[in-house]
Amino acid sequence: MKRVLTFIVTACILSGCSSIAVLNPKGTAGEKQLDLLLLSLLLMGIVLAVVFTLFVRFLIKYREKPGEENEFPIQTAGNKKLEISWIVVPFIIIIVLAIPTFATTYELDEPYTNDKKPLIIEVTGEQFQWSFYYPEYGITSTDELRLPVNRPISFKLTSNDVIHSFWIPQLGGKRDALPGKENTLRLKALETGTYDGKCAELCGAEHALMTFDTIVENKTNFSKWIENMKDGEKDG
Amino acid sequence: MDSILQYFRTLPSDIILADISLVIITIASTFLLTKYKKWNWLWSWITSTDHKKIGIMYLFVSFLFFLRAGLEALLIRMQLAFPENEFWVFQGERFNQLTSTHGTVMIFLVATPLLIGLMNVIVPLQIGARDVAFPFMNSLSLWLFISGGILINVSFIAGGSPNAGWTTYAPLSLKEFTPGPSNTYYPIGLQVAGLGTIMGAINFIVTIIKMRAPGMKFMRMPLSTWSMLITSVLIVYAFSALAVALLLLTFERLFGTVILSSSAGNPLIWQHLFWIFGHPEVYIIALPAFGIFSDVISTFSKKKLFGYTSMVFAIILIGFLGFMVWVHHMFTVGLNANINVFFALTTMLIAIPTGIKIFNWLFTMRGGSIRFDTPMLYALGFIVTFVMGGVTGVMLGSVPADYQYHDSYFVVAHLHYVIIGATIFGVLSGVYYWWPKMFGKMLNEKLGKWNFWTFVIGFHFTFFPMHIMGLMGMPRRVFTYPEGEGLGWLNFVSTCGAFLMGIGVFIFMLNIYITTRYGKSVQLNDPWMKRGRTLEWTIPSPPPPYNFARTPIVTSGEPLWNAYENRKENIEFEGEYEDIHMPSSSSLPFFMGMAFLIASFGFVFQIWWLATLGMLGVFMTMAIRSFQNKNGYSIPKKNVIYHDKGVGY
Repeated sequence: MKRVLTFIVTACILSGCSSIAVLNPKGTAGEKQLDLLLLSLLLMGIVLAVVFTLFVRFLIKYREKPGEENEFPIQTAGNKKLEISWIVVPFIIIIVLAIPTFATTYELDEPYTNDKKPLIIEVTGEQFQWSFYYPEYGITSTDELRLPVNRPISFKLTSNDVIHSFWIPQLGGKRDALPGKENTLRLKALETGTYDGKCAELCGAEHALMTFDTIVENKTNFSKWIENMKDGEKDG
Repeated sequence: MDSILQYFRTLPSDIILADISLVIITIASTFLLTKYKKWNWLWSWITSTDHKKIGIMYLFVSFLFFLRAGLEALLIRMQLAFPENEFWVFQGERFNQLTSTHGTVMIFLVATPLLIGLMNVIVPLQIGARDVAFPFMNSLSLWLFISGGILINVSFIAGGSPNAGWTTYAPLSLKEFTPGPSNTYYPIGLQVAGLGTIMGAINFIVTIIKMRAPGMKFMRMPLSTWSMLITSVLIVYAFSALAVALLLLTFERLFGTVILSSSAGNPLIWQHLFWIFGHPEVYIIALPAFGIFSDVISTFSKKKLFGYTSMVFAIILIGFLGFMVWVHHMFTVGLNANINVFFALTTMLIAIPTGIKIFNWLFTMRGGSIRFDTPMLYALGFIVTFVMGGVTGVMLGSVPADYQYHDSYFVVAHLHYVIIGATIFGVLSGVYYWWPKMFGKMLNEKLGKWNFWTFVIGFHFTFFPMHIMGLMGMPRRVFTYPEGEGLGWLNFVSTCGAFLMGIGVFIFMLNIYITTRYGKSVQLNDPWMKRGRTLEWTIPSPPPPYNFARTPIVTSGEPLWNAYENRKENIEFEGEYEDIHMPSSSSLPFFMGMAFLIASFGFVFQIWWLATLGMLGVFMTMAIRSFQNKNGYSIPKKNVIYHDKGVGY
């Protein structure tokens, strides 16, 4: 019972706490993933509630009372109806969760059509830094990712050495950066601000320090930054 | 001399400490063994082919490994207790070594062998057999496991331990990125231990199929035996996949084949093979625990297991589906959506047989008469914990949401909920339950309850906050995290919980010490207040070397319980007393294990003469075994009668 309470309290903290990145998404992919998280949490909450209720009830009701030590309880082998019900009901719950899971998986995998004018960014992970190449502008930035707000982004991920994993929790889920391969991650940032980015796959000694800042800006500021970067490269 | 001194000066303080404690332990145990003249006693255990003794050695050695990996867990939690903390030497590379060996040791050298050890003791007793089918091979399994275990465990004081995670993903695990012996220890050590595990599984399969007492049909077997049968089948297939993966990694590191490298090969081959092993492994260490809980819940509720048939089929189904879900560990590597949704579906489907089991356990308690002894407490703790771990498992199966959870602390929370919740609780439940059967003394109940509550409360404090840390964006296997992300207090709570778990384990050891030293012998076949239901409770505690003096008659799934219901003290045994033929003990498995150990060191450090020497030793012991004529020994009829009438009745 105590643990059920702990669970409810934590759930309340969860919903009210904006410092939990995944529950406070600022990107399209992150929003869809949050929807699935909440749906599955709700369904699983029902399961937990049923199991814990039966658990507590049976434990209180059927504990051995003094004087019963030598009694023989009636032995029941099973009950067809009950047993079928806990095959069918979970099956329904799974279908309810599986359908939106499938839909979202395909949706996130869908390539952008050209009329959406996605911004392509080539992301390369290497021990222990991230570099971001913007082919549209011909500039490269290291450990700092700038994104224009509300424009679809297509990250082309790869690695120069071992496997890394590219993750900006507030914008959306992660995707691995594999050496010798190219993976694509698509999302759109919906709000300006600075978000933490990290490497999620163990990649060596400084794995924990392989972080980057993601700065989402409005169109004018983003263009300014592009110009500055271009000037910098010319000077350099 | 100076150069040796110089070498020790360059060592980090933790390794010096480990070296010193190793020397002290060696000297102390040598001294004690000599003082109390226990060398012969030790040798009789080392060479024993008795399944009960082998099982107890499995339990003992894996418990030592458990202490080591548990200590590592505490060091990990110390380093992560505060943001931007710098605890002792455990940052960067050293932290990676900690997490890698913690995981590797806990999975391969603790969870798996703890269960194998317990089942080694119990399965022959539950099916009414005198031993396992191949006693010599049983001993060999044990010694291969021990030498593989030694190899992994000494790695950190001999050249550096594995540091690419317990999953050891290529290309990080390849020579190019982690030179030195570190990640060579991993495939070679696990290969040796894994060989032993495969042999053990074959032994269990043959034992369970061929050596059941007359009348014990498959559908009359206790659930522990059933689950061990299915687990053994899983081991044979899953550990073979692991053997292939380990061989590829060994070749890559020793001879520079480029199968797993990113240039000419494909690092994803490792991930596929590893998880084709890795996911069934989860069930290999969960199913026997499910079996233990089925027996324990039924015993302590005084009720027949609810839905026995569906429980058996649920185990089989879980085992089968367990082989079809491995890609859910790889949702983010960029496979196409069709593959991901297929594996999402199979993953979610596993929830159905698991749900069947949970509800059957609950309904076993309904209408019963429940006692809350420590084995039952662990079984109840398991239900709560495992259901929570199970639901996060379904959440992880939802592919797009998994993009967020994957490789974050959410996964760390989930895996500890299921593995500690099922396997460790299961082993503790089973150990408390069968301790009187193994040693003839009951573990202290009061300390048992202290052990349970500290361990379980500590557990939830350690791992529940990790769900939230994961959602806050804390990746796995990081040795530090920045201040101001709100991660500090959660990590601190988690560290406190880990120490509470440590106290729980300490109380458990205290319990064993006090019981062994001061406990009274139980003198009963069934010390659990006449609640026993299955064959192991029909024979003395501890059982004689031959287990059953005469053949038990099995006419139902719960022969002892039925005898109790008919107001009898015990079941019927049939046949006359006879001389009993026993397998002779043998030192060859021990020497073969040591030869493998020598060869492995040779391979790890690429000292080829040493490797050749070791392998020669292996083949020599095999040859000796082939031409040896040891036909066992015989226990005379009059001794059997004396013991049976004296203790059993």
